[in-house]
Amino acid sequence: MKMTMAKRLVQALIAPLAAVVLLVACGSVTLVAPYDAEIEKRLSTYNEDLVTFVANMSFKYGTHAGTYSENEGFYAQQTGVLQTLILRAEAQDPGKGCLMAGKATELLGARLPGIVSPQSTQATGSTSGCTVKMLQNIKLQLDALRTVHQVKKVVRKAQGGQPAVEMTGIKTTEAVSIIDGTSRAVRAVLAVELLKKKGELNNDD
Amino acid sequence: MTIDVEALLGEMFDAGASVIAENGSDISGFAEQELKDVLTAITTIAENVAKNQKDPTTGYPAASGKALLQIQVLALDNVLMGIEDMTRTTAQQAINAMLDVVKNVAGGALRALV
Repeated sequence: MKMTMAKRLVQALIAPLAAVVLLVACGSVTLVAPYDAEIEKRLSTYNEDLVTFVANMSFKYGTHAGTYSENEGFYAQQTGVLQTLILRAEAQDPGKGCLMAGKATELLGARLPGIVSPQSTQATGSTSGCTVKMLQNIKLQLDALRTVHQVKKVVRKAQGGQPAVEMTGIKTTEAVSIIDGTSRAVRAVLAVELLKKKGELNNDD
Repeated sequence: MTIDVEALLGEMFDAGASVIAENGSDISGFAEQELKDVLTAITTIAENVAKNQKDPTTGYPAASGKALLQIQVLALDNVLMGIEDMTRTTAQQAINAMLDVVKNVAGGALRALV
């Protein structure tokens, strides 16, 4: 008799809870944008083009062909590619925000004041999703690469009455750092996309 | 149809736990290496700016160093955001895997209650 009462009590408690679970189960939870094959593909191509360009510029360093003015077209073209990807990510953004956006800038800015400072578009935490913010950062990196390319460097010191020769360009040591930093930023987006893809493939099994 | 609540909960937790376990190694492997590399890169920038101040044909000028540092900080930002997004992806996959169990195992029985 006691068992029956207990059973009834459990059923009375579980039934409404189960009904709620069932209602939730009718849909699914969305915390991130869905896997986007286009972001994976186009961002990989962007990285490939950027690495080729930077390596090529470092080979041409110290010549007219490696100067910024000879190669500014690359920046306009790649800005267009990234802007399109940002718009694509924004369109799919589930609106859950991104807590870590700008966190590295904030942390390092506190330790290196005047050296690391946030860009006008950066703030810690964001209402935009992480994919949108990561792609915006990759675009900011392209702007920083442009700055490196525009800086005049001493190609030859003043010698025998001849003045020093200065030119814009990308040195090999700069190229290594650029490729390392931009590839890392791209890899972060791709790692997320691949994890999403893996989840979708597992669901299909 | 009767519901074995304990068995159902067990299946739900197993479904969630397997997603978390599977993705956990991907996330920690990604984070550890990337964080280590970005700190090394920042140190290298400081060394190259110092070299250039001694001999302007070596290393690179401070203006370049500042932009290169910006690239590394943005990369670090992306690594942190990547970890957040991977964690969210894992949570979403785990929750949805648990909800799928409810839908598949108990859906028929529960539908009678609503």
